[in-house]
Amino acid sequence: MLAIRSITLTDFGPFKDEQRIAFPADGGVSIIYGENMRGKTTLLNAIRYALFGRVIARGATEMALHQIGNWETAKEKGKYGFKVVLEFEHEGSKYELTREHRPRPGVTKPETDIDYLQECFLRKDGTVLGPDQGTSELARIMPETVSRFFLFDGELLQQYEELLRNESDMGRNIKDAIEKILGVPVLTNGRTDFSEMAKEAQKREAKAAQKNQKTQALGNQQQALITQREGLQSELDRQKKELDAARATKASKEDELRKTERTKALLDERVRLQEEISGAETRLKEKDEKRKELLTVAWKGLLSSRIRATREALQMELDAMRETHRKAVVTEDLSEKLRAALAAGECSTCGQGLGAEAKERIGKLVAQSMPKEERLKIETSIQKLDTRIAALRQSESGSNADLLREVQDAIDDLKVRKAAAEDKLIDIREQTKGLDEAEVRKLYGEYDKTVADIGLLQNGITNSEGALASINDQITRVAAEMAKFADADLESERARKELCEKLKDLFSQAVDAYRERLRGKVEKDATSLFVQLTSEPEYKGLSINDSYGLTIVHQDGTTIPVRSAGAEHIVALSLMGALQRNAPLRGPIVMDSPFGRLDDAHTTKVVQALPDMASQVMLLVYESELDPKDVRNQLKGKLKKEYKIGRKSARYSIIESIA
Amino acid sequence: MTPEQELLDTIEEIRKKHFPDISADLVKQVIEIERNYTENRSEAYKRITQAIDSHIAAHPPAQEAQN
Repeated sequence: MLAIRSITLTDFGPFKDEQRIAFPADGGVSIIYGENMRGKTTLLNAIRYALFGRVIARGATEMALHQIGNWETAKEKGKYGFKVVLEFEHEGSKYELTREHRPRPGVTKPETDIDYLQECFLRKDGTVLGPDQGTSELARIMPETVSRFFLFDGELLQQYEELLRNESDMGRNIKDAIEKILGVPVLTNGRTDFSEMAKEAQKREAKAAQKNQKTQALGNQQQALITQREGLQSELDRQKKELDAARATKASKEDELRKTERTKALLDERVRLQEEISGAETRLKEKDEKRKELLTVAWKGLLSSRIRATREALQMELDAMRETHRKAVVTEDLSEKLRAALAAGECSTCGQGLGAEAKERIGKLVAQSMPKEERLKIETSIQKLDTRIAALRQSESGSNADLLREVQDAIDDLKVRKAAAEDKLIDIREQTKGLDEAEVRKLYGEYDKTVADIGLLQNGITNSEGALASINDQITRVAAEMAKFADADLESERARKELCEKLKDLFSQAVDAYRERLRGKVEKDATSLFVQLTSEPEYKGLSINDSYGLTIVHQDGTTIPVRSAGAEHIVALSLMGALQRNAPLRGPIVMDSPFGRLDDAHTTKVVQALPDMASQVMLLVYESELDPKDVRNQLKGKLKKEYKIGRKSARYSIIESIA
Repeated sequence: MTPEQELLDTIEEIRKKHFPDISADLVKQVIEIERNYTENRSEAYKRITQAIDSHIAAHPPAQEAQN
């Protein structure tokens, strides 16, 4: 287990001259208080610099060397360069790691990284190790790829949510780092090594077969197939390498995109508003044309009530005339029959003779019937009335008053919407004034291209893997043929190959089984920590996915799909603690401003859980984030040391032990 | 149980069940090499190759089946 004993900084960031922080030998929690801009993050970076030679600025970008040294020393003494000495213990040995950057000879004022020379050496139990030995020892004690679980800030904790997104490349990178700290590479590397050794053994087998007359032809064939496979394998390796690079690019773009999300949203909204305004203008133009067209017949609308009254009067006249005409037609038919009866002197239906009285009555009835000329006149009048009424009806409908009202309403509505969009656009133009729009659009373009490249590479890999599988089948068949005629040499090489293949299969199965076990253990330990850390009593634990992503589980068994930044923080800390408990590689946890997103209740719970998360914890906080009195009460004897970063000047901070 | 022991137990269970003819000591030796040289892949490969060579020399094919 790695335990840091001290850090000595010389002209590193705001820490002018030589300053040292010592940590207690028995671990526990050490707290370093410092207000903003005093150098808390620089202290975290000093450890990172000593171990890996790199300094990370905000936003995960690497800092240039000439920005690291102390500005006052440079200004006052013209002295550039900086140094960090880290003392630590690991597996019973004492180490002293020194890393220093000095200007190259002849460079008076370094301006770029190449103006510096680096010196780094590792002392183990008092003896300086050789450069390669030192590098390899450091890589074993603390590989950079897992440093994210030991040295982190609140910003980094937010990234763990990526583990819940299956397609996220950043999530894939974090998963790899988790597996690394949990020791999975011991098995995955074994699987890779035996896969390679099995191939080597196949080559040796083919060579042994070529030496025997009985198996020479098969050996030659096998050799050719192996050569072919090597070509395919090298192409597949190239594709996979490119895919890894493309995924890394995608992950970094995703990170950048996240930072420009707000800008992109504003720019998209701007485009949307511009389109809305232009659409409204087009529709306004169309509606205006329609209105003009309707206005040409609008006069009819003014006379519509008079037209309607006239038409209704005419209609009544027409109806009365039609009734008179109907009666005339009916009586005309009857009159014809009565005239015939008078002329014949008898009833045309029953043949009975007509008396004088009957003849007189029939004569009167015939005289009352409408004359034909008059009936024809009525018919002509009906036709004329019909025509007039139809014309009046047309005038009435031709006014389109309702339609005109509808069009006018639509115009008013469009004008209001257009004005609102224009207002909003002015506001967004103001907000996006200083933004580099081209850069943001370029970033999105590059991201889309990378995603497309990944798709192409994945297809290529599938094809190459298919071709490789087919050639492997052929190699297996030829090997089986060779075995039938094997001599002692060939038998020996065959045995080597089979051993390597079996070991490869054994390690493959172990990888799956070990991953399964680890997931179970991490889930259990993260749950136990989470329950301790959360202030929500209805949350009963966490459930883990294949990428070690953790989801909150409610007591009713359902999962909580969306969580706040604070909850994300708590889940990430639970994962950190669980990893520390299950990792072969253990070390101190150094946290920079980790409570920024937590309320008081959660902060208290996290502080109380710190001693359970790692045997050595260093907190870099500002006092309003963590009240010293409260922390002392909460941690009691587990709080081992307190420091304060004081201000001498804007470019000069001093580390003081709190007595 | 330490994480190291957990890993060894996992692989040993599988070896016993599915690959009983593979030497448990050889597997343990390989795990040890991979653990010590996780960050130095070429050294790990070299040392495992040597371990396999020694194993084969000590257990020639005829005897391998009986081991």
